[in-house]
Amino acid sequence: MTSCEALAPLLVSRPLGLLEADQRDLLAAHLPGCAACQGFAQAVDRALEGAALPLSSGAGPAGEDPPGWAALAARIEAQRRVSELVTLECVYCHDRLLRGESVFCAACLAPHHADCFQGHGACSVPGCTETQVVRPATLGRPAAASPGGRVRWTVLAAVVGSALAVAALSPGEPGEVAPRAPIVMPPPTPVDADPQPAGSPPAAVASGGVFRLAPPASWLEGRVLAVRAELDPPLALISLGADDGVELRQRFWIHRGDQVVGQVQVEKVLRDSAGCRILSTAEGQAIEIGDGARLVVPDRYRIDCQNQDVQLLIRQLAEQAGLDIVLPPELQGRVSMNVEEVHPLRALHAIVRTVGEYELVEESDRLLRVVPRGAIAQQVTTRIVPLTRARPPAEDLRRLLEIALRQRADEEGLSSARLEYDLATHCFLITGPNPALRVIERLIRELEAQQDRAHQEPAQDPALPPIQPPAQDPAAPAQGAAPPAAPARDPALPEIWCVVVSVQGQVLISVGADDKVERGQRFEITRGQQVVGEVEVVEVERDSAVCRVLRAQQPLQPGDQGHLTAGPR
Amino acid sequence: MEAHPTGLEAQQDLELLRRAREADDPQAFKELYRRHREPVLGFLSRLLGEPQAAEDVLQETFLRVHQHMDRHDLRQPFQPWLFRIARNLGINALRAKVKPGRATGGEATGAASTSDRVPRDAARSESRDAARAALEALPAETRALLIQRHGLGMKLEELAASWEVNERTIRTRLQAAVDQLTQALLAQRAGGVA
Repeated sequence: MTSCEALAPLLVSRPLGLLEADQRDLLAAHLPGCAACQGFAQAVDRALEGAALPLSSGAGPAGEDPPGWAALAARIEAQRRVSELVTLECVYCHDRLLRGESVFCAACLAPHHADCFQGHGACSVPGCTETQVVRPATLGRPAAASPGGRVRWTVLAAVVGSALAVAALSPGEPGEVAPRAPIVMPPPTPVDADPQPAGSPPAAVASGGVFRLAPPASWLEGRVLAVRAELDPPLALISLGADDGVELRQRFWIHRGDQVVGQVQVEKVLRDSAGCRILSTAEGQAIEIGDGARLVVPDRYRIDCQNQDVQLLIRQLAEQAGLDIVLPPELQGRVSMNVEEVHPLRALHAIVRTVGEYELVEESDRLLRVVPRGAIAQQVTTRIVPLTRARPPAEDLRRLLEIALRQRADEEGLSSARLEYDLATHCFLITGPNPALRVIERLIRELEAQQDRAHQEPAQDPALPPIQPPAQDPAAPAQGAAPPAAPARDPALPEIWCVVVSVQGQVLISVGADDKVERGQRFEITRGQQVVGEVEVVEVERDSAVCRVLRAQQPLQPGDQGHLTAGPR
Repeated sequence: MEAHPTGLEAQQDLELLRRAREADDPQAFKELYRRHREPVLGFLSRLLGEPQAAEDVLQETFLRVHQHMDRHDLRQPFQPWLFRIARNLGINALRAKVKPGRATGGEATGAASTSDRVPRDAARSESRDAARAALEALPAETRALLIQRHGLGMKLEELAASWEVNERTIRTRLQAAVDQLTQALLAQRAGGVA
């Protein structure tokens, strides 16, 4: 029986065509005289019936559609539409880039046409020299180029579902592809050569003027996903969001085909959509689901003037750009400039600075004010500082920042600055004079970096020796006291961790009375995984504590971490 | 079209694929579908055990082929690539669903349960079902390999291309599949089933 069992694998291999010649001979000699192996061979055949294909009906007549083709063809067509809708912009030539024909830089993932990347020889993003590309998982065959050539626009992935849904719901136009014709915009408009208001003194010598140029094509294009016209103000949801680079207060033309039906302004940015306030609608038109949404690209201007009165020039430019501006009467002077394709705000800033100690202040997105530079320092404004490295909630960072501000309260303006942390947006809102805001923002960045390092060091610095029990260091007694032996940590002590905020003789740590810190408690100070010293709390504030150094193997630094190891419970 | 295409048919497949992707010719892709539908459907039916599920995966397979046909190297045969996609999708489908009791071979199950057959036929049917159950109990990848080898008659070279491994590895995997099936059948016989 043992020999039969040894032959069993050969009996299974036989129908699979895996036998060697000698194995075939062995079976041929054994099988006729062994009923058990014959039975096993039949069992193998029966088992492998399950692997044999059913009888094929053949490929079918060539003229007829094979079964299931209609459904497959419909899905292929749907995929083709998707690939037509999902387009990007080539970083190199800035033309439309279908997903099917796109390649992405292997380093920075910037999209290119394959031939553009090849022609350039490397990634065309400034600073990126990558020569390799990766290809996306394509959604289908790219459509042939449109007769009118490539149109510079982008419909991002978020719009696909809605666009298809809208197309599917539109009777008589199943799967209609979004219109691609650019919105008709007004042609370049030269400003009146002599637009001075009546009664104003004529410029002594003035020539040239401000010319509005044709706006560049919009690169951000989406769809209207929902409309709530009954609300006050009426709202619309568009298919572009933070993923697409949409920002607050951006404006979008809403268009149907090549006809503009309204304009909206972004009020709330979500990850892949944006809530917008409907600013205006064309007469007799209403914004509807499925309408296109195209970013309003600010006009660019050409300014060419010689010895032009500055007040006059600023008014011309502001009027052309649709901005309201307040000018002080003492702003006087003459300007000569020749700039091409400049954003109006940038031009205004440049003009104002040219004529003296003035600055342009943007009171709102439409209202500007020119003020003396000295007045700006005293102007209280609010600045939003998004946190990029700290992890939410940034309460520890806020406490550290408040402590640091108290320590530097004597510096100009810092004492009057107000600080708020907004958990929802993970931002600090700081209000105060501009110089103080700059200082606070720099402080935030420094503290953020310190915290970030503190989080990363244990994982990123394996070269450091493991944590050692605090050693006696007679060379570093502080306050003249003999260095106390490091006590074993009392397990009944609360777990309190802190960060060293500052070291100026004494050490300020980031925890205080509200963290149950008390006088006499000792904190072991570590840097990465290395113990660098020990401190004792001598004074407790609400959210910070001042400590004296008991011992220090290395000079303590802001950013070092502390852990409660001994003291009153 | 046969499950195992001849050299000429393989060349025709590649020509159709080239037309489908370069000229965006739907007729060429339809012809590819027509030629390979039956073998792929048979393979998936055996792998999945459910005709409807096999139809679904078949459609998904050709949709994937259409989406990714730009990537196929026209120097390589089409069929191994097609079956690689079908196999992966089939195995994914098997993993995605929880089968409380795996069907043991489509119509064969129905035949075995028919009560009006004579006892000898019923016994033979039960024996066949039990043997097939041994195959069904194998891991999906192993069954897919056996179906491709036994059902589709694919050569070691084609199997290697379809599984993206070399021939030595395919031979090893086939040997492992043989061992698994042998053990399952021996265990059945020891239990007096077959």
